[in-house]
Amino acid sequence: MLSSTERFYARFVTLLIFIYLVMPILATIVYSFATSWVKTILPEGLTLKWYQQLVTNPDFSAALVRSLGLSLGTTLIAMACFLPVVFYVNVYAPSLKAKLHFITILPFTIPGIILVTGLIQVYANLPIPKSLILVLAIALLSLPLTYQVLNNAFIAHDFRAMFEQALVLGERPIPAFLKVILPNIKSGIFVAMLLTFTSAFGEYVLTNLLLGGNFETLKIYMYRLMQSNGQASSVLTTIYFLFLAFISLILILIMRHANTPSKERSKHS
Amino acid sequence: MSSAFLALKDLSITLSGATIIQHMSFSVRANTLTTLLGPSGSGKTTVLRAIAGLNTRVDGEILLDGQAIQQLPANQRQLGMIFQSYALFPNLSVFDNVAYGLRVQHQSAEAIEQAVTGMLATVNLSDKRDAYPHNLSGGQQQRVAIARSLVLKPKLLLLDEPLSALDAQTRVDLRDQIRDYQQKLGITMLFVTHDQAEAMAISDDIIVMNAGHVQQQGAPMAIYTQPANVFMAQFIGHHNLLTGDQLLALGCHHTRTQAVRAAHHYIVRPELFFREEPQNAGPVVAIAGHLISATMLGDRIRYRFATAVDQLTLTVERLNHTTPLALNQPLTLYLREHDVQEVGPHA
Ligand SMILES: Nc1ncnc2c1ncn2[C@@H]1O[C@H](COP(=O)(O)OP(=O)(O)OP(=O)(O)O)[C@@H](O)[C@H]1O
Ligand SMILES: [Mg+2]
Repeated sequence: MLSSTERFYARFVTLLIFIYLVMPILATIVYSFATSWVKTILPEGLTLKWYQQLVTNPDFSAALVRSLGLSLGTTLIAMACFLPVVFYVNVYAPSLKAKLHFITILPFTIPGIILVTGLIQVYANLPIPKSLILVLAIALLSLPLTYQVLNNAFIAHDFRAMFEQALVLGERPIPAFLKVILPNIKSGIFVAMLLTFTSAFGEYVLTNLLLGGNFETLKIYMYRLMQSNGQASSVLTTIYFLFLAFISLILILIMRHANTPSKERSKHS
Repeated sequence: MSSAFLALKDLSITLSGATIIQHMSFSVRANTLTTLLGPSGSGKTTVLRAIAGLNTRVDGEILLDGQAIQQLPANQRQLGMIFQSYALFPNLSVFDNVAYGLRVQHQSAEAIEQAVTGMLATVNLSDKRDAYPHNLSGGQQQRVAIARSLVLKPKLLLLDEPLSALDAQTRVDLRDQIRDYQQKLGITMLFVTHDQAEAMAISDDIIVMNAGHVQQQGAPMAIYTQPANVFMAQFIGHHNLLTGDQLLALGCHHTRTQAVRAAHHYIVRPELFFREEPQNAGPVVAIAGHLISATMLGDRIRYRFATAVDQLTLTVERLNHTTPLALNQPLTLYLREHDVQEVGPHA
């Protein structure tokens, strides 16, 4: 047990850390609503002017569309590439799991700049649009995370036996996958999709290196604004932050739901 | 073998480059429960999966009811298979699990309702029809898996160690129920196990395999009393496996059929030693020695008996039904020569 002074001390430190982490976010949010906030402790007045200004700026909507498109593309490609692999390895070739696990760690160890140089060298002379290379590169970067989450979805049950059982019962492989595997891993897939989506949405290094100013995503736009217009950039940061907070909330809800077994569900039926 | 319903002919199976099963042949009669018995790693699951169509590299022929099925994909073989892990679909209720195969066949809702309800009654799970797998006990889950296969009236039901994850009592209950379903519904079952007692208790026929080969096939009694070779004698266990040299040293010069030869192997079952010299039983050998340990087995006591022959101890049972015999006292046991059986070398 902690003594009361120790407890006080622990709480005090926690509070300090909390303030250290939360204050900048709070300040940014408040700043985004402020008419002007220069030499005072509190802003002089509140306004939605900055939001209006940002939202009506064509640069913003263009960047938003690019970011959404990039994230969506990355998510779909990552799922289309990794889900079949994870399924195959878990159901047909469990002995390959160790090797695959090693491969999926690799992107952690390769710095973005090397990845980009490598990609450009390999693909520069091929008639492939750079945006596609970018999507593939970001999908690759998200591999460790996506693989882990997808793979975890396969731990709970003996999916191999379930799949084979469905075949023996007369089912063809694709309906067997859709009816027996998919419903039991769908929350895992959804979590993996959200995580891939957010990591692609926040991607900066690769995008900037590979396409730079030609393809201004929200993140790149945000950095550009920071240098010119502090208030506009705080508006963007706030929007960005709320968006991520929203997605995190969804993630927490899904995971909590997935962790409580469907006892309630079965009682209701 | 009369009316082979399932026949494996010269089956070889290669998994990731390793040949697991080599030139294996056996057959299973219709409407019997046949067990495939063998130690862990002997290839039982591999054979079962090949019959179900779940292994990729299979050479040889698999005949089911006269039809060669080795080329058919798993979903066209019309077999049932029970997996050790039950393989229930966790997202489906008990009813929907059992109805799965019928729905694949696009049967009408009424037909499904009727068949599933009937099958759930058969396996005694009518009150669980709306429950989900994770709310059932292991034994109940396995009964759902059995119902899910049986409701399709498969030509052949394959069971891969279906009882190994259950506690002792449930095992025995469910084992007898499986035998019961087999006889009531008149289907052929091929039951994999590594548990001899289980195999002996429920089988019409036992196929013992080891290292990818069939060692012996026969009725439980024949498997127990006439092991075909040294592996079988060791596997069935507690047989006294003696060399001809040892038998000659004990003073036994003949078996029922021929003279004992020094380099051959012989078995003597533990219950065939007597404390009193048997009358009218042909030549009898008297063996002097003493008991060195006793193990209570419930219905009988098993002793280790040290003979005067160098290093040779025998396992003997059923010497005395009421009180244990004293250890370390001089004792003479009698053995009838015609109870000594020769066994072949390792297969
Ligand atoms: N996919 C595989 N690739 C390579 N070898 C395999 C594969 N599956 C099984 N084996 C090997 O084949 C042999 C037989 O395995 P199998 O699972 O058929 O044995 P079993 O008799 O069912 O054993 P148990 O009683 O432990 O279930 C084992 O030596 C095993 O290591
Ligand atoms: Mg096995």
